[in-house]
Amino acid sequence: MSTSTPESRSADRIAARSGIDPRGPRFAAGITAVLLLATVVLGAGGADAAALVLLAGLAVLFAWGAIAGVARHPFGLLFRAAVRPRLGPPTGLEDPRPPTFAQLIGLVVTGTGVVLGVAGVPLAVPVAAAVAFVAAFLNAAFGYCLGCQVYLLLVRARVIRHA
Amino acid sequence: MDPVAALVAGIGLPAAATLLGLLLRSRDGRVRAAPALPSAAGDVAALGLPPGALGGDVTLVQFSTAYCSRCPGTARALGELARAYAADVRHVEVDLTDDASLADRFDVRQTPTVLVLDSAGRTAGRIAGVPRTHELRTLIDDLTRRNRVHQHA
Repeated sequence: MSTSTPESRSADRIAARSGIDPRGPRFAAGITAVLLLATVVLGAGGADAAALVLLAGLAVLFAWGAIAGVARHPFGLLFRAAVRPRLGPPTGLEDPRPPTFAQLIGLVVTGTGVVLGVAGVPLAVPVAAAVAFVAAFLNAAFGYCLGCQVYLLLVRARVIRHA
Repeated sequence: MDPVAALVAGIGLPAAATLLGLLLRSRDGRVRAAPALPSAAGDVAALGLPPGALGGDVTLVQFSTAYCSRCPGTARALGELARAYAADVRHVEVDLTDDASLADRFDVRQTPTVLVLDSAGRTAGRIAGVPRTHELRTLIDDLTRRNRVHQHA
């Protein structure tokens, strides 16, 4: 789902086997949450254009994470370069697929906000940013994965079937 | 700029999200009495587990999906917990992506969800989220002790 070429698929399989540091996606979600909150504040304050530009930038980042995988996301790279060397080893490694799926959900939510914002519904920008903020904040602060619950709902709705 | 609306959003939204997070955390992983599902024995058969997969004393049935960040860690912890018992306690993981009808039948609304089955395959408890080890141990201890009492009686 997150990949298109055989090369990146095999890279994902290798990453899935070895796993990623679970603190990486949480660190990235923290930065994302701050930027989403800034979008909400700008939108609520009436700075519609600034909010739309910021949300569009975040939507691009979500697309990056969903397509290239969280490990290759700018905030994931920042975590590996600047944060992880200062931390102790992780207690365990995690499958990168759930946080990558969460990036796709983030893209859908923020992308909808951007499209509606461009189409002349400025209120959609802070609303979409607020929804995405709650998900990113719960992940960063509580380790709660809203995307994982959405995935189960999609399985139950028979939207997702096992290959 | 409308500074008041910006301030309300900037403070109110994180506060609301914090409350939501605390609420979710307070409910997560608690051992609850199983809801009244029709014919418990038939339900266990519906899991499609191979014969002998159930523990002689207790079985921990974990429902997972491929896209569940906390499921692998839960599986590791429950496997270790089951092995630590002298009694026949087993951990079984069921991927709902393989059979979505199981999610409907057992009304699984989040992953991981764990069913605690007794020696007869009846659902003795149900946990939504990452199980609280202390509460789960209490239930398993209770179920295995009951079996020992039965055997000696």
